[in-house]
Amino acid sequence: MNDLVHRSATIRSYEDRYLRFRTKAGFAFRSEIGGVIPNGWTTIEQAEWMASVAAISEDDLLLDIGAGRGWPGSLIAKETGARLVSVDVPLEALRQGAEDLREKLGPRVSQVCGDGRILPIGDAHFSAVCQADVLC
Amino acid sequence: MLRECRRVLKRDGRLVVVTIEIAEGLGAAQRARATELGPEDLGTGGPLRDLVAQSGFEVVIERNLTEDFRVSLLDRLNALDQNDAELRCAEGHELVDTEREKRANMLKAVQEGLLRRTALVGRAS
Repeated sequence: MNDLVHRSATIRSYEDRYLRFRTKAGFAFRSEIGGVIPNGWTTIEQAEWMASVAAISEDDLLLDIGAGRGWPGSLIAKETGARLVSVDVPLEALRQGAEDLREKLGPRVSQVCGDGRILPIGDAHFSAVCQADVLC
Repeated sequence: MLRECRRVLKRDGRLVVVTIEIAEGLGAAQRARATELGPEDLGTGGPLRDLVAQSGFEVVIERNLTEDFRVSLLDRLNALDQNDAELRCAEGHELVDTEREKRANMLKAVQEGLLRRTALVGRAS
């Protein structure tokens, strides 16, 4: 029971991160720091480096765990041509990222609401997995 | 989570991770301070390199991104400063103060050598 309470509190705190800075002033602040949520730390240069070392191409499937609104998986998929599965727990993050992901990747992207510790995915399915600031 | 990454990856598939972690070689008191100043969900299980290796990967690349992280933290604090009045009006004092304190604490931890940001590539073995 305690686990369930803790888990739902954790999910709520993740959801909250995506509900902050949604005002006009909040968007201005976010645009000055690259348009990311203020908790995201992966720069464009770092995402480009991630794409260069992922060793994938258009025939491959990439999994982004803890993807939030789709960063940095969307850039890696765009640069490499790989198809992307973008996974995260907060539905709010998936909702906010959906349109942008569709614009960037069209049918080559799927979003899944799920926990990276118990993925609803079969064995040996992906050519690469990326994650940014999920383990911290 | 890393074992789950290994499970869903094909053999020789790549894991590309970027994360904030506690710096290596710290004593108990410094580790406690890193945890106190670091992000809420800072991992305490050991160096990322070891965790990745223990989860069925061969570590093929490791990069230290701590300086980039320090610059990002300064950028966030400057952006908070520049938008302070508008943010306080629109988002509230509590949120602005909390965000500022979190970032200032993380910057302090980086400057004291308690936190680092690491990028790592593992190959599924």
